[in-house]
Amino acid sequence: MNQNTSNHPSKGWNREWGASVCALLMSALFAFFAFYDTDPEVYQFPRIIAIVLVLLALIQSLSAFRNSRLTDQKTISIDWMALLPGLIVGFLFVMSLEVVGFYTCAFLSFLALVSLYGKRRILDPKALVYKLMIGGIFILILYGMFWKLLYVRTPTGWFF
Amino acid sequence: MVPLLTLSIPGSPTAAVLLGGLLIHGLFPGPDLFTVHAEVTWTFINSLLVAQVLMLGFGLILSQHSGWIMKVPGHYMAAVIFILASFGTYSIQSSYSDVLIMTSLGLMMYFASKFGFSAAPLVLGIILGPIAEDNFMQGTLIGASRDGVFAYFTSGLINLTLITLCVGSIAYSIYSEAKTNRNKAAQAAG
Repeated sequence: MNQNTSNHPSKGWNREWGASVCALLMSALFAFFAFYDTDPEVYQFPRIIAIVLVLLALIQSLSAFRNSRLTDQKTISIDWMALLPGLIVGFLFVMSLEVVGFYTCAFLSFLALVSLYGKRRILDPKALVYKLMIGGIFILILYGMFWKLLYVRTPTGWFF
Repeated sequence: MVPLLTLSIPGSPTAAVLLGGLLIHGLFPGPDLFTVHAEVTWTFINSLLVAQVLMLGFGLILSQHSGWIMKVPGHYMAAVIFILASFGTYSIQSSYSDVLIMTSLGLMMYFASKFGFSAAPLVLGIILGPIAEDNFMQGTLIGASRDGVFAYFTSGLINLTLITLCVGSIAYSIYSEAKTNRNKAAQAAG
């Protein structure tokens, strides 16, 4: 995953601007939930915190705006193409957890993640056997320690 | 550890997690911890002392060999951490929604960390937020029955000292940042 932080002014997003916008949006959202259709007496504390957060976010945004003239602003670029496979695997794991079963899902996700982000080719037989072995041992340890020893129950689904 | 155990102010994210653990077990840091729950507290403190001695022994023996963990490739670590995090989250309440929340927060925090947001203040906020709210509501009720809420919170030496320190800390951080930026701008211009 090749996310970089650099001082190059023209590439990626300005880090300070990005942070300010995020902080402002989050505090605005928080303020909305604190003020919209709520009892003023019960929501007194969230309202005070929301006002303070919005004020601080505004100060931060103002500071970011003033600093945007400076040339050594840090920028951020995210390699979405490298990140996407991991996100898809994570999404599939979470979505199929209860349907397929935790241990099967965990094993398949482990295999998928190490294959996608490993240096060697996905279908390299030697590497595949190695990954299967490591994944199998990891899942067996997890199963033995938590299911058998500590009686922690996870979703079983179709398989296990 | 001293501010955490006496004033319930965690100085680090690790201390905040420890505070969360104490609160889950019904132990509220403060004077009660050393009187009402002295049994648990002293066991806890003594275990820290024993841990220091053990750390010395294990450190001397294992430090030569434990470096191999650094050789584990990042993608293997990421896969293991993701699965363990999902497992740990699910096992607390056997709740699937908890896994969804953990994944969403993890993803959100990944992007937030790219913009310089740190997890430490968030952890502190989550743990200290309910404590602050409870005490604020308590203070509001007491204040309303006396000279008024505002006067109750802004009078007294301790209150004024803490307010001054907070305002001073924010003002100083704004001033120092402005100064740094002025210097940078001057360097860029000249």
